[in-house]
Amino acid sequence: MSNLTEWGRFSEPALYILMSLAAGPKHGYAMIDDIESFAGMRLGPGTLYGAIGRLEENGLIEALPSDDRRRPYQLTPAGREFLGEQLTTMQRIIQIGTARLGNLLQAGGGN
Amino acid sequence: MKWLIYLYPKAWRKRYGDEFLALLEEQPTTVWDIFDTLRGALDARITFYRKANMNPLKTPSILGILAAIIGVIFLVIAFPLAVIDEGAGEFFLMIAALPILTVATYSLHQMVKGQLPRLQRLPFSLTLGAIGLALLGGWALYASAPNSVDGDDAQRSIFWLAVLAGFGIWLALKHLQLMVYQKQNPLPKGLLVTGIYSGVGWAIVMASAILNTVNSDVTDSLSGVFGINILLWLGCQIIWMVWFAHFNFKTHLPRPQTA
Repeated sequence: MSNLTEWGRFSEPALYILMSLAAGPKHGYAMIDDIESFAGMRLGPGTLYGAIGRLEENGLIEALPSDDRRRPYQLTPAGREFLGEQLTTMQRIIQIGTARLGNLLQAGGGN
Repeated sequence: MKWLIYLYPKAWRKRYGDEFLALLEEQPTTVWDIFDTLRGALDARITFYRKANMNPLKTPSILGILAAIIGVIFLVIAFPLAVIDEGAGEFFLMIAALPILTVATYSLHQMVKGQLPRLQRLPFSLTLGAIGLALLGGWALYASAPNSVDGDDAQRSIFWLAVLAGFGIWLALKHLQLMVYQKQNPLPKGLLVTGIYSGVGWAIVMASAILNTVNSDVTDSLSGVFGINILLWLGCQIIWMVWFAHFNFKTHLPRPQTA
């Protein structure tokens, strides 16, 4: 897949899941707590597993064996590469936006 | 809250069911969580079938034929009784007949897809017959709907009509599923509209019948709107079912194997 936007309302949750798993394998509840801590968004169970299903289908995450019902997931090599690309793109956008906003504020401060 | 998982497809539950239930048990359930789970089930119903290339209407075809027979019996019994003596009992028989016939139609489409190759031509004819019966039942339903029913009869009417309105929503979902499932075979976009409206229109028919039971004055003032809706619904249902049967007959029906 080339772009998370293809996933509609699951694009943002999927990115957050990838970011959460970048810190290490986690099961669903741990992902929800971690994402809430850094993004301020608490994913519902339906949204979480909708995104997990898509990420797994595209080979970006994989399930790890587990003895209990809670199944942890981890990033795959393809998932790490994909997350890196997405964050690089976002960083570029943020830089451009910050620079433009700075110019706008400077221009407004001169008036 | 745990029962919500049964809204998800069986194959999805097999893969994610245990961990999903564990998640539901770990955290307190909010109204938002319930709504989000319902949304997730809808998404899974549509996308899971698409990626698994599974037919979302894998209903045993024999069940469909039996459903059609039961539906016909209901109509044959109910229709003359309703004409002779309007009452809630006959009304329920007829409204029960229509969804049974609709289920039968879908199941017969499965037969057309080749599950019973020896009966390839018969299901198509039965499908058209089921459409005719559905039309007759729809007319009988509309003609004999109670204008105003008091007390327990009103509650029963409202309950069953609300159930059937929910059935209409399910019907719209099934149409949408089929459109997604058939995505690899390009379909006219108009079919999507007719397919969805055949479910939505049914829900509006049931809602108008509920409203008629509660306050017939309102429905009288909106009779034109409801009448147009019924015509649109019938038209969409006919177009969708006949075309879909033809589509499957033409593209999926295997030729009988010759010895």
